[in-house]
This record gives sequence, C-alpha cells and structure tokens, in this order.
Amino acid sequence: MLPRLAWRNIWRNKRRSLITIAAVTFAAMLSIAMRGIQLGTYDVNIKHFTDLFIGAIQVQAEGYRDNPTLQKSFRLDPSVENSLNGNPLVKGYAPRVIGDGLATFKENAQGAMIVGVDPDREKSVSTLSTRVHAGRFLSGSATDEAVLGETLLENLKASVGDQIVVLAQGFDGSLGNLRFTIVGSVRTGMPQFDRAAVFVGIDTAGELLVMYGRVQVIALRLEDLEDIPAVAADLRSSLTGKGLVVLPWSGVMKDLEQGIEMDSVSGLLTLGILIVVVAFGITNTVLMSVTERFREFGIILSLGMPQHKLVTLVLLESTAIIGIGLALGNLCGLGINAYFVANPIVFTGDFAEIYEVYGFLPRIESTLRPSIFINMTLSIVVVSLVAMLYPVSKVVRLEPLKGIRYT
Amino acid sequence: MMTFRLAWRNLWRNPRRSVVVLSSLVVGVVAAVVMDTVSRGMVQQVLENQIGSHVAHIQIHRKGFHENPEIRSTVPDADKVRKVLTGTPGLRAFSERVVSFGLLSGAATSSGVSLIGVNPEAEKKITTISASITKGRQLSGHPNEVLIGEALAEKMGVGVGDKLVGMSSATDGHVGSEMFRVAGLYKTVSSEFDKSFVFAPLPNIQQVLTLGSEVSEFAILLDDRERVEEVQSRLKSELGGAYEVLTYAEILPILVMQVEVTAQSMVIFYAIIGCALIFGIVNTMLMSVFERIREFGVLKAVGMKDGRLFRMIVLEASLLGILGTVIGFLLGYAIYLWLAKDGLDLSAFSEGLESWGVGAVVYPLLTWDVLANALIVIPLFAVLGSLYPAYRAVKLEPVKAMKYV
Repeated sequence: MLPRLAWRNIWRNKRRSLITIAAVTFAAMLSIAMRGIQLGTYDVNIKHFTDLFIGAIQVQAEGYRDNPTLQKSFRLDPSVENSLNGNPLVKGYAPRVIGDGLATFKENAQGAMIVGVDPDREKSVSTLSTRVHAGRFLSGSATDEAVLGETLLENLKASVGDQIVVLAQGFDGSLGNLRFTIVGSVRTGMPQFDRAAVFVGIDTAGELLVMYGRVQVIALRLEDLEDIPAVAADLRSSLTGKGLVVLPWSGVMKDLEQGIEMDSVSGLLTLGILIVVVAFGITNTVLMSVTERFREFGIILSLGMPQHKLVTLVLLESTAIIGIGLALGNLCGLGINAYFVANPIVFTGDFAEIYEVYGFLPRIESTLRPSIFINMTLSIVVVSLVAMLYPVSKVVRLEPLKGIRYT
Repeated sequence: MMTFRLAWRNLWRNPRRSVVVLSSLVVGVVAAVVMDTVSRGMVQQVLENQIGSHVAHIQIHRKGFHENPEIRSTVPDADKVRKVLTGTPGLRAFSERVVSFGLLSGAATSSGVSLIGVNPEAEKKITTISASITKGRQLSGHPNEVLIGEALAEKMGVGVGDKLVGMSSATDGHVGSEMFRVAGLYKTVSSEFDKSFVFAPLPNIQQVLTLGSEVSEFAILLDDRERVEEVQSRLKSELGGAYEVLTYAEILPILVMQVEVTAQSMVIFYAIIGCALIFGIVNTMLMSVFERIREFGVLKAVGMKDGRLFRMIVLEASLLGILGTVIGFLLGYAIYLWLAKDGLDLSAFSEGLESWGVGAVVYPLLTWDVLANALIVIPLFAVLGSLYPAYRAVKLEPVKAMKYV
C-alpha cells in the first residue's frame, strides 16, 4: 500500500521529481565517469612503467633505493635464483647493474647512467628492447655494444655506429674507462632514461664497474599486478637474512605513486564537493514537497495513520527518486567509461610533453572496475540520506492539528 | 527599481527555501575558490622555484647554446655583454656562469652532474641557493671548493670537508679533472635539481676546462618580471645576432604552459560545480513560480507586462546567485588568507612534490582570474537556471492561472 502511495506521490509533481532525478543522475554519472577515468589512467600508467623497465616487483640490495651506489649490491647466487624460479607467479626476472659515469664522444661529454642488462632475460621482463628508436638493441651480455637514450645520443652529437668512451668509478673506487660502439638508441618517454641512459651488456658493465658478478637490482615481471602482495610476501620469507629487500613498483617509483595519490585525493575532493552541492538540491526538493503537503499530512494523521508510516512514506518517495537517479547515472557512467576503455584519448604535441615531464603517459583511459560504481553509489546514498534528515525530521515532529492549519 | 524590490521581497517570502539554495551556492563557491587558488599556487610555485634556484629571468649565451650546450660554445664577447647589461635599466643583478657536464667522484661512488662555475657574490643576488645552505657555508671564492645538494651528498656518502674529484671534457677534447673540497650542502624544493647541480668557483672551472676567461652564460634578474619581454628585445637589438637572449618562458616552456593549462582546467571545474548548482536553482525557482501561479495570474490580469514578469523572476535567481557568490567568496577568501599565512602542508606527498619541484608546503595564489571565475561564472549559472522557470511564468494565461489550484 505504502509503495504505491509513494510512487503516485512522486508523479504528482512530475517536473520537480524529474529535475531531482536529473540532478542525482548528473552527480552519479559524473562521479563514476571522473573516478573511472582517473583510476583507469593510473592503471595504464602503472602497467606501462612496470612493463617498460621497473618491473612489478624489484629485489634490491638493502639500502639501494635510498642510496643507489655500487656498494649496495649482492651476488646473484643459486639460492636467490631458486626462490625466484620457485614462485609460479613470477613470469620472468632480470638482474641489473646501474652506475654513474661520463660518456664522451669527440669533445662532447655528458653525465651518463650506465645500465648493465642481460638482453635475453630482459625480453621476458621489460619492453625496453621494443622501444628502440634507431638501430637495434644489444645482442648479448658481454659485447662492446651500447644503446643510448635518444636525447643523450643527440646531446653527444653522435650517431649509431660511432664509438664512445664511458668513464666510470668502479666498486673498488678505481677509475676505469671502456670503449663502446653505439648500436642503437631508445626512446622510453622517461626523461631520466632518455637523457642519460647508456644500456650495455651486464657482464661488460660489471667489468667496467668492477662488480665481479655483483648486481644491485633484480626486476620481476608478474602476469597480473594484483599478485604483487602475495609474491612479495612469499619472496620476503624465502629471501630473509640475505640483506635483500623486496619492493613493489610503488616502493621503487615513490614519486609516481605519490603523484597518483595526490591526484586521486584532489579528484575525490572535487567529487565530494559535487555530491554535497547536489545534496543541497535534494534537501530543498524534499523540504518543498513535504511542507507543501503539511495540510494533507495533518489530515491523514488525524484520520489515524501512524506517524511512523507517514515518515516511511516520505522516505520511500525520496529514496525512489534517488534510486532512479542512481540507476540512470550508473548506466550513463558505464557508457562513458566503456567508451573511454575502447577509445582512449592519446595526447600529442605540447600537451603530451607536460605529461611526460611529470612522469605520466600522455594518455587518458578509463576502467570498468565494479568498486568504482559501488563506492560512488554508496557515497551518494549516504550524503543523500544526510540531506533528507532535516525535511524528514519535520514530518516526524508534525502534529496533526498544526499540519491542518499550516498555510 | 520597483522590480528589484519586488524580487528581493519575493526571495524572503520563503526564507527557508532561499537559505538552502544559498547554502549550496556558498559551498560551491568556497570549494571552487579554495581549489582554484591552491592549484594555481602549486604550478606557480614550480615556476618561481625554477626561476629562483637557477634559471633567473633572462639568460644570454652564444647563439645555439640552449639547443646544444657545448663547453666550447662560450659567449663571444663577455665584455660587450657586461657593458650592455650595466647600461640597461630595470636590471636588478646579473651573474656569469660556466655550464658544463661532468662526473663527480667521491671515495667510493661517482655521479653525473651539471658542474656550474659561478662567482659567489654575484650569484647570491640572482638565486636562492646561498640562502638554501643547510650545512657548511657558501662558496667563499677560494679555489677548489664546491657546493653540492644534500641529496647528492647523501647519495655519494660525503659531507662537508670531504674531497671530491670533478671531471669534465675541456675545450681541447681532453678530460680535465680537479680535486674539490665540499664547502657546504644546499637543499632546494626539487630533489632532481639537488642531485644534479654542483657549484664551484668560476676561475677554477675556467682553468680546468681551459676556457681562459670565457663564460657560457649570463643570468639576469629584473626588478619587474612583467617587463621581461621588453628587456629581452632591447638586449637582442643591442647585442646582435651572435647571441641568444632567452626569457625564462623560453627556457621553461612546459612550465609556463602548465600555468596556462591549469588556469583553463579550472574553468571546467567551475562549470561542473555550476551544473550541479543549476539543478537546485531550476527546481527551487520552478517551485516558487508554481506556488505563485494565481498571484502571477492576477498580476497579468491587472496589466503586468510579460517582459517585466520575466525580468523579475530572473532577477530573483540572480540575487540569489550574487548573494551566494559574495558570501561564498568572502568565506573562501578567509580560508585563502588562512592558508596563505602558513601554506598548505602536503608533506604526506613530499616525495612526489619534490620530484616535480613544488615543495611540501603549497601557498595558494589569488589572481584576477580566480576573482573573475568565481564572481562571474557562478552567478551566470544562477541566471541560466532561472530562464526556464521564468519562461513558464510568462506563458501562463491570466484566467487559467487565477483558477489554478
């Protein structure tokens, strides 16, 4: 009986109900779409950077992250490899040696980050070798080949085929230099790599830096980033006591993680404001629809309708309006998010550069993760319920006689 | 005037309703003003920090140096530049530098850096580095001293007084090296900057790199940043084609654009808030119109013109909009003043902020744009929201309206 009454009441003032529904729809649609686009964009960024070079998880020598020197290194012995091979979720791993040096070509010198990699193992971990811009990638771990970041190559005014000399200080403090032949350049979109990286075979890098087989970092690829906590926990227990730390990507790229976090918080603030502003509209509509009917309510009450039923009626009406709005908003939000999943926006030109400077991909995508729809819907429901408190409390306190005489 | 008084009174016939709409406007405007000033402050700060820590307002080099900063690409005639600069009005100070890239080695580790030769006294007037020293002291002009960033010192495991060897390729192609002692450590808001910029006395670097008395860069600070383009064109014409005269906007194009993009994206933010507000305004105005149908019927029957009725209703909404905006803006301004005093502490995100060069404390920035956005956009939405209700009121037929129940 009550639901039917509520439904009819909603359509007694069609226009008002429709506008309120539209407001809720707008809020739900916008918050779902904005949140979806935010989280979706974070996802592609994280996926991109972990795939590109960082890896989902890194095993590092203790203290390397805060103070990346050659001394913070370890030996890749069979027990470490066994732990990594023993975890079925680890799809591949690649050891790396990273040191600072000076790259010189003719009279040009540039600060360089020497990155020793194993080209074969790198293939199962990173997409680095697919980012070759000119020439080709390294052919082996112990060659005199070097692949340079694109900007570094330009700044040295060298080209593929030229020979460069890399000067560096080794593990033991001695200065050494090696001659390399440039076989290619890479464009990674990460300025610190494009501007300074000299990728060489890990064995040659070890020789130049006098590492005697020591490495600083092992990057791991996982099939699914959701597996990070499980794999990290497993490795932490199997690698204890070796002076190693297991870091997820968020621990390695703290700036990306915090950048995402900050953007996420400011996005949530915007949505919060949006929902609160819409909530005031709900307060007003319910308030109007209630005060308008005070005489009617007074009569119903005097005829013997229990007050709690009347309150339920008003609540049913408002909830129905909000419910319809939320349903429509979810549908529209789903549509928008699905559209951006299928057709991501890719920026080019100056705008793309801003993104790259801040370490993000120049790309906007969305996600259809159910938690977004659930969280946004729940937030709107909670705020709307708060917004209804005041008008409903007026009905709770309504005295029949006062209601009848209300003008 | 009569319409105005009528509209104002109508608003307060149902004070509760008007207050609820006003509150939504106030919340929207307060939020918009705070978000707007904080975002603008953040990007502006990145720019200010870059200008203050190194870039300055104008830089002069040999033509082509900016594209390709080679060590041999020195300023053709430094004396001429000095003379021109001394004769240029509006200049606060200038400083000469040698800019080179090299490898800095400690006992155990080394790091690729930008090795900048500076004249400490002149540099002090240009940049904030000497004010950012956290340990040790500023370069005193004695040879073989360096000032390095705290982050770099930590990475290399050195402290004040420790020895470092700097290496860089000299003009003749050989790698010059020199031993330096750390005089002091500095810390700016950008960890990237701190890790890569190392300062040493100018004559020292000139000698190591066999530069003689040549310099690669003049950094210039003006009294008034607004006049940067005017000074630039004056310097350009006086120095001629062998030199490049660049403003900070040309050296940091991405940051300057970022400031503009932020300003533009704030308009979208206002529009979203405005759209959210408009639903409430349409609904409220509609209700207040339908409540008064009989009254409007009577008004029209006694000869009130449609245009005047329309204006009255739009005016009611505009008054609400303006009142809400003004109250909201005053509240937002109070919050802005409060934030501007000590800044907004975002240390929870300090690593992300530092890598972008913002600093953990963000100071909001109130510009005329913010004022225009808040005071024009929001009331405009209020007016937009009243058009449909006003149209409904005008369309009424007097007799039908009077009989409406």
